[in-house]
Amino acid sequence: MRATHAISSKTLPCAILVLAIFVPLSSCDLIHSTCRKTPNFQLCASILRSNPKSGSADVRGLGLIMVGSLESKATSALHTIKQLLRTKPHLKIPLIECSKKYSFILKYDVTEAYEALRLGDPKFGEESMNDSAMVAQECEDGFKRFPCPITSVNKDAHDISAVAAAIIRLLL
Amino acid sequence: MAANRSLTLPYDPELAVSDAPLLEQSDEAEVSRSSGQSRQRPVKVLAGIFLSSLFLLTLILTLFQGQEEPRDQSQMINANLNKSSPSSPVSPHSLIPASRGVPQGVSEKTFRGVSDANDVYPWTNAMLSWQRTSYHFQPEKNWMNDPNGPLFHMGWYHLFYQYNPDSAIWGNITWGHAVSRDLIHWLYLPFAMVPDRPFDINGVWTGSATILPGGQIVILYTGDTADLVQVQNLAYPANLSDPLLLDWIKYPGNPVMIPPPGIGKKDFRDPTTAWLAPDGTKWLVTLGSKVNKTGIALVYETSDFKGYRLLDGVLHAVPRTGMWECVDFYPVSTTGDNGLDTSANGPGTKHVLKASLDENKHDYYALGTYDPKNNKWTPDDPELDVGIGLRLDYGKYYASKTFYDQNKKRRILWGWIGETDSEAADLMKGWASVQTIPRTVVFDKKTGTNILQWPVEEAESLRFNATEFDTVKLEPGSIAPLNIGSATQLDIIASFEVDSEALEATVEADVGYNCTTSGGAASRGKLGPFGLLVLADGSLSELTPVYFYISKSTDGSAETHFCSDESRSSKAPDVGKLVYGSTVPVLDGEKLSARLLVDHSVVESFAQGGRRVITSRVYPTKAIYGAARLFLFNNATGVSVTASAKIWHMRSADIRTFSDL
Repeated sequence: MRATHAISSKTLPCAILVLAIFVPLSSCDLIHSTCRKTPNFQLCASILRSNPKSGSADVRGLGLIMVGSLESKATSALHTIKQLLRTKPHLKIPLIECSKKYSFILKYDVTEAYEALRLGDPKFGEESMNDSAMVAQECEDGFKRFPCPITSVNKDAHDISAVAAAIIRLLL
Repeated sequence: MAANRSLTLPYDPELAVSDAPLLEQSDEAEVSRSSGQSRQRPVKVLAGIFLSSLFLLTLILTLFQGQEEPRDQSQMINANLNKSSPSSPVSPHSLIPASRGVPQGVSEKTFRGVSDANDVYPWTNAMLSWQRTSYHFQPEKNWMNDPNGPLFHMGWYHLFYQYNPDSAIWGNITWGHAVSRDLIHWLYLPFAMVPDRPFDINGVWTGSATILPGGQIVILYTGDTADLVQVQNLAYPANLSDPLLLDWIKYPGNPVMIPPPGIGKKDFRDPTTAWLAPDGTKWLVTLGSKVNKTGIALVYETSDFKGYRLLDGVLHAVPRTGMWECVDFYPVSTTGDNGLDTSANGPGTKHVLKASLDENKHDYYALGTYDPKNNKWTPDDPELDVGIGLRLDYGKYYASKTFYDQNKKRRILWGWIGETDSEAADLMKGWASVQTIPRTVVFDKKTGTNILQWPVEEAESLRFNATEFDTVKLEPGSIAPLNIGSATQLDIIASFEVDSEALEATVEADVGYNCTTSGGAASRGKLGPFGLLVLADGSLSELTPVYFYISKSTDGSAETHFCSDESRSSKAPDVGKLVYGSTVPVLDGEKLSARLLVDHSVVESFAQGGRRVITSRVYPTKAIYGAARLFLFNNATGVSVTASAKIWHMRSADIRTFSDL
């Protein structure tokens, strides 16, 4: 019948619209409820949502994604610092300190957090992420007398670490 | 000879209060009905309206959720901030001191832009090497955590421990091994077990030993498998007639226990020593887990340590305590003075159930009654149940484990003392963590509500050069230096008597006092604080008070608190600065007494014969080597205190590698 036919042609796009709303809403639920318990909801949610694995991840998986995000941030921080050492030689001392700090974060804090989450003794991961937040802060604090050229990097690294620690806490 | 000086202590209590931030309390549309019209139109309209309103609702919800929580969250973070250290930023011109910041594992402070920084105290090699203990067990280098499988065999005490051979942070966990004749002088042996099988390739984790009636030894330990599942494995000595138990065989049929249905694959670890079941032939063993946020202890039954049957129900469960790690379960005698074999039960015994809470890294215990027929343990006082009541130690202390020492018929307790400095400092100094001096555990017959812990008597063999101070009168606001020479390796026994008239006369004092929120020894009350200042320098720029504080409520009842105050223990900003402690029962006629073991960066403090114990980590920058001093003090405003102390120097335990292997 014509009327029914008219419905079908409009029902399908409606159904897609419904799915488009409901499906992301359910996986967003875990990201939402997890990120609400961290010190920086926006940062947490944007990092997790932009990672394709987050849709099917449990809380531990979200924690691993966040540690991975810190790893990327620390790695790119090292590159940035390397460039700045060439362009801003007057900042050599605090920049070298920062380089040491980000290497430390990568070699120790990120490694320990990955291991703790992977192996299933998350409390050690929480400690190392708390440690990493402070290390990022210390890099910032090194620029006592000059404007810090990597403040947003440091703030991101600090906040990502704090968010990761908070996510890991949910596993305890 | 102690020179009495009446001095105002060099801290202004008002300043002290303002230094310690107060704890902040945390955190459609209408659907038109058509009547008599054709069916198709209303459905289309319905669908359209339904979807639009759903869409709108979703939008609203997303916006709403996006905004509300972060504010609550920041309040929560503020409430958990490290209360004692001023929030001055740290300058970088130092040997990589990274601040661990908040050792309790709570999220860090918010990021702050560059501001005026105080000079950070750069860690020198001298300061860092001073921190190493002299008579506490620790490996030569690298990371250690939980004590494992303690036992006595053929004249030797054995200690195994979680150990990272590669680094001073946690990872790559193996079983370290050491032996001793006397629980004090330890000799390092080769690793007992390394992660080399599919059933433990990702970690040879915590476990316990059981000595069977014929002398056979079995170890049950947690393995982290190739598939990252936590399982329990069996191991036994390759040669039982080897007193050193150098080599161990892992049962080829491992794992012997895998997570049962309903238990998470990463929530299943730390099996205990086994005890005999009522039938006298089978053995029972317990390990901790959680269901949602309820901490539980599961019980398995076995006749050969190879095949296991999970018993129905749980030994015990306490809601909202989270994962129970390192469960310990053992009897104590309510009538005798000795320890009891783990299988003992019946009249004249109570059972201690203990758990290490993953959530807050504290060890809790409770006394209760064990009914093996029903697989149930019931606490004497449900208000002080496991995880919500008494702690074994109110300081930096975790993953403790007891064993029955059949040699001297004692129950002996080991505990892991972690670091509260930064990871960077640990890596610089090349090691992290020590074990406590082993403690005997007995039931407190006088109170009936707690156990008593006391350093094993073999520790006294390290004592030399005793100095006694008798009846030192401490007026309100005074300190008395105890001139004993070097003050970094000490065994101190001190007692304190408060002027009874003044105590009686005081009607009300500091109701609601709490060590952890008090701000430490700088906060003066009518009836406290008074005690000892350890690891203090001559000018008191660094000091660690261990003290009593009496509070009194209007009905006349007094409460005694026992605290260890790290808030001014070091000028360095990147170390823990908490005030630890709790109330301690004091019975009529008892003097206040404390025993302190000072060993460089570790202080173990025992109140009232071991009713309460506090382990502290202290990392001074000045009060080290010859500059460390010892004082008595009384910072109360309303009472004099008479103190006596006997102080011994402590030799090194000379812990080293076993040389003739």
